[in-house]
Amino acid sequence: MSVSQPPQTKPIQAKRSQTGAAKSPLDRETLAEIVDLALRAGQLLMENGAESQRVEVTVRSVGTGLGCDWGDVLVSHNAIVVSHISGREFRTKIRRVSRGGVNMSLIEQISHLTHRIEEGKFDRAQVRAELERISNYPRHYNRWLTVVAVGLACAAFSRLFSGDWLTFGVTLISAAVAMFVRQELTLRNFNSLLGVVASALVAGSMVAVIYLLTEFSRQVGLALAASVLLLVPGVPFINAVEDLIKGYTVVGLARGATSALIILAIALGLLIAMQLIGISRL
Amino acid sequence: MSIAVGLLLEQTLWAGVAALGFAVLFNVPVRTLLACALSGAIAYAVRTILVETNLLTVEAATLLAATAVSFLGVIFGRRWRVPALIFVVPGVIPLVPGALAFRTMIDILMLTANPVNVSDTLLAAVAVNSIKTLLIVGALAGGVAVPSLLLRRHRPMT
Repeated sequence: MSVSQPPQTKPIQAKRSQTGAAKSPLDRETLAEIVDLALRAGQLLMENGAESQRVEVTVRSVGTGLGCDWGDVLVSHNAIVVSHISGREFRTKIRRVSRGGVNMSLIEQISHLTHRIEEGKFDRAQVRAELERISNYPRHYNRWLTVVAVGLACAAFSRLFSGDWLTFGVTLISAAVAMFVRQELTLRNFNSLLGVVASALVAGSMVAVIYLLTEFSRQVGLALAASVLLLVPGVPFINAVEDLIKGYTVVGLARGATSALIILAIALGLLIAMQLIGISRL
Repeated sequence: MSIAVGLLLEQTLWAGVAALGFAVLFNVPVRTLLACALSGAIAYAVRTILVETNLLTVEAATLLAATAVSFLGVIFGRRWRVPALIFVVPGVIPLVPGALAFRTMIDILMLTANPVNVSDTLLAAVAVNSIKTLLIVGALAGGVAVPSLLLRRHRPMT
């Protein structure tokens, strides 16, 4: 990051620009619009699985790229606050952020957009249109393809845990059905923890039913463990540790608590299913 | 070397499939899909080789494998002009100690099933496995953070 000499008008704030030439200060309406755009970009990132540093840098860069001198960003686990500054004027706004899933393509597109804004290639109207387009961009893989891919991934895990081919098949079916249930519950806006318990219960019950019907093997515990792996909060946990390491301690702790609760929810769903089969150990 | 090469290859393949499935779940760009699978396969192969040749414990091997895959992600990211995390997150998925974590969790819940006469073996299993799970998962996430700590440094803000 290149930080040039502070401008004469506002010695406290570090000013960032490619050319080093002094910018003319922005008026309050313009600043308000820039703050809104920056927060929208940050919100999209947070709701789709980005870590805090990426959110902070993006929110600041959108502001400085559109003509602000500097932006101070506070990232919380469920909100973003930013003050964008131009000359002696500044504007501050809070944006609440809700929980979401993981969408790597969206993160990629926002990252690309931010680079273009930093190069000065977009004005505010273009940025608004781009953000709108990105937020409505359909997923690359439709839900049935996702169901099959996730089922296959969990089945692959059963092979990694040295399961046999029968266990592979049982895991494939159970995990795919659990993924379908999870999608349905998410669409109906159920509480996400409840959705996890229900999906784990469904996966476990699928394994249980197949087990009772066919007595398929002694690897029933393995099939149970593998078929709920789709619910493991991998991204929240990796983000939690990354946030903790990089000094976003409170966000990291909050994300860690969420991850721990999700793991407990999975265990609860599994436990109920295991009681149904009548086995006590995986 | 004591490891069976055939088994290693088969496991590597399955690790790639697991990474691929999660890459679809995470909606990675289509053009990066195979590289995500490759990342997962490499991560798992690195860890398995390090553990099976008795060079490192599974925790240390996980840290090394996650770090390696994260640097690979940086290279892939430059090649496809996308953020590195697109390759790194699906890539470390095969390293997640899923079976161990759930066995531990169920054992913890089982501890309360018979509180008067808790079995020593169960108690020991819970203690050892929960520490092991935490260490592996921590090593995994820590390894992911290494490249950005080394490559993306910022001077303190004033």
